[in-house]
Amino acid sequence: MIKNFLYLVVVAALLVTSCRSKSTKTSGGEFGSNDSSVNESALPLDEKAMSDLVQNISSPVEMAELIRSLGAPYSQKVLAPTNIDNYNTSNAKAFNLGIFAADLGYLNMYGKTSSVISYITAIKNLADGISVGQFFDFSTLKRLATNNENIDSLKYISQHSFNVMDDYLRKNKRSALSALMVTGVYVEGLYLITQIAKEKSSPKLAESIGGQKPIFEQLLLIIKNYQKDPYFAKLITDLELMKKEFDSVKITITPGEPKSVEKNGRLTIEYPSKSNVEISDDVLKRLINQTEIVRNKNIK
Amino acid sequence: MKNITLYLAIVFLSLGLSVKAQTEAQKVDLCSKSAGPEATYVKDMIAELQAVQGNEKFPSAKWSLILQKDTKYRITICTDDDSPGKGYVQLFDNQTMLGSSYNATTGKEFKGFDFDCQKTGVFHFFVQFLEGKAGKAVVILSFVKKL
Repeated sequence: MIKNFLYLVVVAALLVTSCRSKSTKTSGGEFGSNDSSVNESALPLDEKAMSDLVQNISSPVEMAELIRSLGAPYSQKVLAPTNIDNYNTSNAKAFNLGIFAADLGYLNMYGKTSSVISYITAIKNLADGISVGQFFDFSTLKRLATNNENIDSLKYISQHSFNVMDDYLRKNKRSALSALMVTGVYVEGLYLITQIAKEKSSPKLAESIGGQKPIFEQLLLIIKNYQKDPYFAKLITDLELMKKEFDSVKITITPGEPKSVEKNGRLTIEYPSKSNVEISDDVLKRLINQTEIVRNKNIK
Repeated sequence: MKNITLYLAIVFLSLGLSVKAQTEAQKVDLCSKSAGPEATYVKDMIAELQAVQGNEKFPSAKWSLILQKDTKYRITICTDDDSPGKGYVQLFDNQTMLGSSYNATTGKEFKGFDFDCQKTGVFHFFVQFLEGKAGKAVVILSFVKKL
């Protein structure tokens, strides 16, 4: 009996070890050749520092909510085509996964569940391609979308799956792919907003676009960490064109003191420290144009 | 006999791993729902800290997140049922503490707080446990509305 118990313990220990070995192997070996070609030791900031860096750079939910707040009508033609066969490298898969995640956020927000299926299918395929497909709850999302059920659950699972995939990549020394996913969300989100601005001009819209400058700067900082990789180098060259336009956006901060207010048992922090965005019509026009060029160049 | 033992080991281990994963996802789901129907989940952060050692500072978990201008966010904290310490969350802009779900002066605890953000930028979230106890908690960042 004791012998059997010891045997059980040894087997269990071996299984745990083998599970861990597998995840290490997955991140560094099997997909290492397709992942970013930059060696971790060659990074200005190592993987640990990168995984601790700013998070929530760009979330599909917030991008979608920003678009909704601008009162723009739904437009199918602004969405990226779901031709995933053209994305053959892990880098391209990760970037376009981000593009589709932003589009999925847009579709969810407008309740366009019939179009959701092709986007979640594309995301699932790309996620499988970079070995994070197990974190994307495809079957539940498909059921919710097919039956036109609970949009809130659809939004929640979409966003949560994206976060879990991102988190897994960061924690498994594959932060380059995480950075590309987030960049994809950002570029597509900005593209969707700038397409609205192309159709109608409004000071609020211009301010929303110019106000993306601090996020763009953080993103560029992260992406530049991987500039030795040719895919990143090309992407950085593209993003630098957008940076040139963002550099002309002026943001000033009006300081203010925080105040905690309790109302009906709920605490609210009011913080009047406010950013003021100045963007000229010319800069806005060029930024719209550059965003379109960069986005279209990186999707197929 | 060895085969049966091996089979049982695999079954138990698989069950153990899936239950653990499921529980964490369920906690995030439940905490997210407790933020209210008007709040849309954006991000979750899980803090698991050891108890303070001697006279050291209370251990804390930190996340730096970008928040967007003209947005009302909701920050909700849910401490695990079996956590020795009760968790609370604080929000900082650089070195300035903007608010906390625990008022140290009155001893009053809140489930979280709303934050009316007027500028786009990096904000820092810290989680600690009362009296520096060990603990585990989930923090949810939700979007409420554009201001």
